[in-house]
Amino acid sequence: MECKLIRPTDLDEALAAREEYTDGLPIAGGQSLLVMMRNRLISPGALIDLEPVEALRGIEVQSTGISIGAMNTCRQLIASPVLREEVGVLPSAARQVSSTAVRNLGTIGGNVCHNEPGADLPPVLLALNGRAVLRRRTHGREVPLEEFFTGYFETALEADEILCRIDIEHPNAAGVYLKHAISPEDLAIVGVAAVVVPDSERPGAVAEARIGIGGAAPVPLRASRTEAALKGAVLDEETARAAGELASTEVDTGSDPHASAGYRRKMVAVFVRRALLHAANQMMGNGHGAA
Amino acid sequence: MADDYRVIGTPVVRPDGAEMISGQAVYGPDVTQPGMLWGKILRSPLPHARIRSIDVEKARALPGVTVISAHDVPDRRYGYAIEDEQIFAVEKVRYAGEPVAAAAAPDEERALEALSLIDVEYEELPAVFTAAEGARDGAPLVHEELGPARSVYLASWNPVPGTNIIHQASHHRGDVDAALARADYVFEDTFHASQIHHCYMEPHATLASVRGSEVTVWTCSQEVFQLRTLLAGLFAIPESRMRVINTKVGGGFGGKIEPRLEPVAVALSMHSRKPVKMVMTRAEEFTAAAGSTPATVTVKTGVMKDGTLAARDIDFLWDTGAHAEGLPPSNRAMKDGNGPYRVHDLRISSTLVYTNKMRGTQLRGLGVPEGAFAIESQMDMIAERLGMDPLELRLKNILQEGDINSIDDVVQSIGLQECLESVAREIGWGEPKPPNVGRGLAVIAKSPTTHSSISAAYVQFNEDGSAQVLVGASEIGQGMTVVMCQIAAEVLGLPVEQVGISSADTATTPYDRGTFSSRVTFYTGMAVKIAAEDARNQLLDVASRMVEIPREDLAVAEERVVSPVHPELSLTFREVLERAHTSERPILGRGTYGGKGDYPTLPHKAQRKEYVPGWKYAAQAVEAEIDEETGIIRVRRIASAHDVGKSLNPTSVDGQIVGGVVMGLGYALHERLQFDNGRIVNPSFMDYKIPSSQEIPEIAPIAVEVPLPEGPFGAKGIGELAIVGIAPAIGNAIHQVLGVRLKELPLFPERVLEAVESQRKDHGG
Amino acid sequence: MALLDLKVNGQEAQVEAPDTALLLDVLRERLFLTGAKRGCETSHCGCCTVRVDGMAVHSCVVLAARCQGKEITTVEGCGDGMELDRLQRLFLEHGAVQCGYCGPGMLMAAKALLERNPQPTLDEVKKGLDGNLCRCTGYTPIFDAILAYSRGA
Ligand SMILES: Cc1cc2nc3c(=O)[nH]c(=O)nc-3n(C[C@H](O)[C@H](O)[C@H](O)COP(=O)(O)OP(=O)(O)OC[C@H]3O[C@@H](n4cnc5c(N)ncnc54)[C@H](O)[C@@H]3O)c2cc1C
Ligand code: FES
Ligand code: FES
Repeated sequence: MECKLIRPTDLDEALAAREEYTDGLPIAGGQSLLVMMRNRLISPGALIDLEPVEALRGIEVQSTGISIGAMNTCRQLIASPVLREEVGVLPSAARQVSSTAVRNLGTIGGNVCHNEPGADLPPVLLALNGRAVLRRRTHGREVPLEEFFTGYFETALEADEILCRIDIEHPNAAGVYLKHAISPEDLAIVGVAAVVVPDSERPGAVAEARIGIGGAAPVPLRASRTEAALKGAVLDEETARAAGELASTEVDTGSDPHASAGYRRKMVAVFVRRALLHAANQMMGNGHGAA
Repeated sequence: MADDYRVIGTPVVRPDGAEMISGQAVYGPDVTQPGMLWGKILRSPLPHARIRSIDVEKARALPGVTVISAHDVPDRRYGYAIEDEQIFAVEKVRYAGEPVAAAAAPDEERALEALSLIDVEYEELPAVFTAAEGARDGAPLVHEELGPARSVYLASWNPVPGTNIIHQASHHRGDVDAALARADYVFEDTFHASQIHHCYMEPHATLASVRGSEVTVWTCSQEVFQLRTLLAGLFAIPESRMRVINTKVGGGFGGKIEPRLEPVAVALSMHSRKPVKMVMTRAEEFTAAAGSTPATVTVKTGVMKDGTLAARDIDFLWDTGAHAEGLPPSNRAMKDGNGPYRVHDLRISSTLVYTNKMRGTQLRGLGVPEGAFAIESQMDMIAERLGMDPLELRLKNILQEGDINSIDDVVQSIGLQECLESVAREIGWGEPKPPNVGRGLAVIAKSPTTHSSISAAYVQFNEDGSAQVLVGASEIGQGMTVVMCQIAAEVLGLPVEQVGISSADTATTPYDRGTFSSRVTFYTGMAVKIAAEDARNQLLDVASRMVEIPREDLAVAEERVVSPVHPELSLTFREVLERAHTSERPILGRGTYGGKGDYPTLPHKAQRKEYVPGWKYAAQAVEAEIDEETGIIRVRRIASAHDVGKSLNPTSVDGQIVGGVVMGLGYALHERLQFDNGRIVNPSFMDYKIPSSQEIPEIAPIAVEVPLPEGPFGAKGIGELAIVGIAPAIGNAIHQVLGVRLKELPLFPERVLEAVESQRKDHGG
Repeated sequence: MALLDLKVNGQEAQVEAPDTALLLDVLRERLFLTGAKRGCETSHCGCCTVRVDGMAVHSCVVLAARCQGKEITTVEGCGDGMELDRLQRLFLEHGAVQCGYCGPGMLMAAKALLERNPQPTLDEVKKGLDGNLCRCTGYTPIFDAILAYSRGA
């Protein structure tokens, strides 16, 4: 009955343990995992500690984008000069995750793998065209986050895989994350990330707008029809409002003790509009970079 | 009144502060005993079901485990108000969460394992989940028969046999129907107050130890003496063999008054012959301890064109859940339901109904918040209709010195108008503001606790001249200990650091009814004052014999006996105590207070009922910013003015006000237990939100001092009222901005938005 | 079971505990340091807050085994013998302790905040305490105590 703790020293050992302990689970920050265990929702036979695994750390700028090790804590995302410089929207969302204590230990990898509705990082990472870099002992694969988030607390992660990194695009863009919650440390009733890429030919117009939505539905998602409608648009009040309305029809909202499906749908419209306008403002202000 | 007090009214730091902030204070979950076991409770998963069978044999087969159920404990009912509960469910369960069996084992894991091996077969029964359903003819009965009621809570008990109505009461004065018929306008509105949870940070925790014929129970309780009486009766042992020792209490707010884990822990200890410790999980707290007692309140008010309140008819329907702990709030509504208003023709009726849910019990405010949300919301509706300023309408109708209140008392020592004017000033009432910002007001009152509200205290001098206070009341965080030390220090001429205090141990401290309903400052405070005066007089007697000066010419000051007549006299307390302890007798002052006999009777009320001192009054004002698109309400500022009589310790008083205001904020904006077929679906701090540090507005606590002659140094106590007026004040602010009236708590964003939309529909067609 | 080498409040301690024992349970049940309180055990209330390598963490969701080689500081490590430290005294003077159950956790969160940011604004103080619930004080006295500390009052 007792749960074992496995402390691998590198990724290979971790992957080997992952393969060996079929009833085991990786533990990252433990902030969600240990709560689930306490509530007896899960009772793994072993925990595979990812903390010592060097390969899951670091934030690297590459030619195509930025590669973020899965074991980066929210605290590290917030403190990272590279992220602040290049994709400010990510640390800004990380700052809105839960409480100081949870941010100190909770990791980006855990946040994504746990895939809790209302989590703050998934919508932002979706809007940044994030990709999950997964490994199992024998080989690796990459999955776009849109395909990685498969259901309510469910992901494409296989039982013998570890999420190693999340690669995001280096956006020449402006980005905003807005969270609607009763109190800032709560999970989002609705969380909306908007990333807008300016059209270099037509000042004021957007080449592309990407919208990630969390909280509203059981699974975080990209508002792809809305994004398509916004290609080349000038983001004024009217367009943003229409985009919000459209986005709210793309979301299969659910009810829980915090809000009904109907309310969530309305909030998607409001916060998509607000996020787009914010991002557009930012774009006009400083071309690229991000808030 | 110019005070020349040394200690009273100063911000003395509490004597137990250091042990708390250094992590050394021993709270319920911190108590241990050698060889102790951990106890856990198996609870009903169903709201209403017949128990077909319970099989504990597999669980009992685990080594080192004790398992008990209804067969193993006394077949007796208990309850402070109405005896409607047994240690474990017998024959049927009445709410999801009711104890069915329990196990004790060397650790929690093993106890839980034992519980998982218990087989219970249930047959589900039809259930009732709302007071309205429960009160209907032919509704399934929660209790087929009722136990006796306890006179402590009730002068007369009035159940409706064969129904779920456990108590009905009404208070009537004048001719309400005629007065309503004469009124220029009649308003009738129905309001709903939700069930909230106390959310003390410390969960219930008890350690029971049975040794020989002695039972000792360490527990975090607001009322150790009541608990002792109940436990002794339940297990049929004399109270002298049942000792209840209070641990440090990590918050109570009314939720730690009645027994929870104690009967189970004692029973487990009796069976295992080992000390047994039990601590509730937070989920158990939310699903099986208790919440507030929610109410539906219908108010009919008759008003004259000039704004004078002509008549009021108020009807309360309370949902007490599966046990009648909602009785105190439902009864109190008789006295407090009308708020602090002058209304001659008055009818207040109250119906308490059983349902198949976790019980409602007392919660800070004790029935006042539910009524005040209705009354204070309707006052603004009246003001709007009459085209009057809500402030003016209140000023016109609130009680003033010498008025007759709802229960025929002559109003005395009231500072309400000053409270109202000061919060209006503080919040900038009537000053310009942006269109998305609203301001709202509320005035509130709470009657004193009278029924068997008695207290006792000892004050003893130590040999070095310092003193010891012994009281039976519980410190639950309200700062009782510091205030009692201050009172004793003031009377004894000692620096407050020279006064020590012990509290709430039934074997060593004198009787007290306990800590509830803001009564301790007043009642226990008076007992301490009287005991300290007794001790001081005894000390002066000894001194008088020592120096041969008549006692009348002696006084105490700065740890010395002095004499205005003989300025040269200077005798230290230590010298007097040495004499007392070697050749006279120890100095032990005794004080008791309360009981009807002690209430001073005012001459002009001689023919009426006795005058009950200590009504508390307050006014609150809020300023809130409202996001019309999302329904989010951001409260920016709150002013809360309280008629405290005399502030004995400003830090304590401000703390009680600010703490109450923030609890009121949660009650107003987002707190509510949510049910699905009788089961609570938000049993965690994740899904049941209490205010966090990031929601705190600017808060201005204001103490208005109109001394209460009967109180200790003029004090009334404060405790509860600060929670009460926030919800209606915010509701009034929302109305000011959006023009919509929310009649159901909490005022969470979705409801605000719904109200706006339904108004739009009504108007837009 | 595992043998853990922990350093708590500057002192080495060896304890035997289940592999995945939680720091809170080890502190309370094995080391008898009950200053860290059990309030919810699900990382919501902050009553169990201690510092690990200076960071405030909820010890109910931290594996004790992971704290080996790190500095664990609990409320018991504050002050000196019977003397309270300055922040503890300010907590008392400002009435930041009512029932006191949240107090040790609040204090540890406040210390982590003040070390990171010695001159916090009121909003930063609120954010720094976002993992700690208090049901009694209404928080304001706690904010006041922390701000008084940073002002050098
Ligand atoms: C009280 C509370 C409030 C919260 N509020 C918010 C909030 O407002 N916003 C928000 O975004 N989040 C919130 N969270 C979630 C918090 O951010 C999570 O704890 C975090 O997302 C999980 O990260 P972790 O590193 O602690 O993961 P863990 O708890 O260690 O793991 C979570 C799950 O992911 C798996 N896992 C973790 N890392 C990997 C990996 N690299 N490869 C494979 N599997 C992995 C684990 O096996 C486990 O199943 C809250 C959590 C709590 C406890
Ligand atoms: S006990 Fe750890 S956060 Fe509540
Ligand atoms: S003082 Fe009681 S919870 Fe904070």
